[in-house]
Amino acid sequence: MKWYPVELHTHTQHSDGDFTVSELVHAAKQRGFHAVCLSDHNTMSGLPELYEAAEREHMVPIPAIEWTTYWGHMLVLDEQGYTDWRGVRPEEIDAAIASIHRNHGLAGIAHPFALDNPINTGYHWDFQVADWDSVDFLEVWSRDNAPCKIQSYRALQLWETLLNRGCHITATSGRDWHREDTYHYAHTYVLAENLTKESVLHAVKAGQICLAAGPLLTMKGIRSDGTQVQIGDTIDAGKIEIELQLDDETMPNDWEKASVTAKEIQLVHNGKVICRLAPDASQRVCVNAASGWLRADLIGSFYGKQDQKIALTNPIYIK
Amino acid sequence: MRLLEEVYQWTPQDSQTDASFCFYVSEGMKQIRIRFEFSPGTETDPRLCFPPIEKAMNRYYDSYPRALQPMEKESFLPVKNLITISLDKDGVYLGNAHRWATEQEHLISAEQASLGFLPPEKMAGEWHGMLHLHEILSETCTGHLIVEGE
Ligand SMILES: [Zn+2]
Ligand SMILES: [Zn+2]
Repeated sequence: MKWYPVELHTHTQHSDGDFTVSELVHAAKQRGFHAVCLSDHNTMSGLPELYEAAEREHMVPIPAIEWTTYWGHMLVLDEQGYTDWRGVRPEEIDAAIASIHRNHGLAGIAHPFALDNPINTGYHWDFQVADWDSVDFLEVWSRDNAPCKIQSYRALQLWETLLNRGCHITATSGRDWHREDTYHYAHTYVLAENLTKESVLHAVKAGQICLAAGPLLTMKGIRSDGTQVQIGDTIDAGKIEIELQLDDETMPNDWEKASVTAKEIQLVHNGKVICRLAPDASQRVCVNAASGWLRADLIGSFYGKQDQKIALTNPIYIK
Repeated sequence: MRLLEEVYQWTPQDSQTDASFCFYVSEGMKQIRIRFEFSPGTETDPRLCFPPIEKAMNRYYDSYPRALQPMEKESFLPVKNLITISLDKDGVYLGNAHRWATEQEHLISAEQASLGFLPPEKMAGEWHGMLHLHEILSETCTGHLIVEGE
């Protein structure tokens, strides 16, 4: 199994982006991504070009659409069929997500706490989700400077509230890329044997995703019998050995080593930091975990701002 | 041949609503041309812009200190009115031109379609569309929609 950087949120001239589809795929390839998801606003008209461009660039294409409604934006990945975004009222979102799932699609909430109308239309999530278990993923980091933005703090808070309630919901990062620029972005990494559309979607669904704005922090659990559990998996409560890896050679074309530096690794269990560790390249630690969830965060500096969360894993679930 | 012409007058109360339209394409028509204009495209009057901008900023910051991520309300001027068109044909969603343009022209045939739309299976028959009024901040906003068949 390997960690692959993928971009799950992009736009082109098929909606309000400046990129052509070819330019987008090429830019993603140059940055070091292995897969790119085209999620234009309310349209799939760019997908035929996505498949052609991805084949030329040896990239994995992920078809998507970004529901761009008055009550929120929702990323819908690889729906086989179509659920109409139009006319869905705030209280009807559960039925819409159920329809997307019947069509084998994944549904994720984009930038839930972004600046709203009249600055960005419909960006703040106002849909009234009754069944949070049905939401496949939550974009906790959005656009540039993601570790340091208030919308990220609020999205992480919502995510932890849902995890504490027992929901299994995957945190993702989205560049929401519209055009070439020189901003500082975070990255989404998926765990896969071989990278294919199916393995990316499986990782999103299963929570086998890490987010990093610089060095990549990954985690796995080791049971007492020596077998391994990946993030997103469930392990029995009790004594668990955790293996942590920190890799600062990832995505070298998209962040500066001197500007994103690691200071401390924190293990977060049910919302509380239970362990602080040095940012070593590889280490193992034993924890006593009760039922709930366990995640690893990397704290460090991000382009001049100290003590930011610069990487995080999705949780291992504990029962 | 003109298939549809509509003139609209909107106010901020119409924000976050849809305006449906429908037209009929007869056999033999190869292409439709949809032209849509609205005006004004932007609003700069501080009296109209600043209260909703401040509301959005308050909502963004919630209980967090503003110093964590300073923003100036002036930086969000001018505010854009945003109206987009979506289309469907024979129950199939063709797409949406979701971008800021006050003068839009979309050409659609069974072989090709302007950015944002997929070509339909066949041209002839009843077409449905919607104007999506994502944001109307100006006190009045006029729209003009013309569909022609060629
Ligand atoms: Zn969005
Ligand atoms: Zn977007």
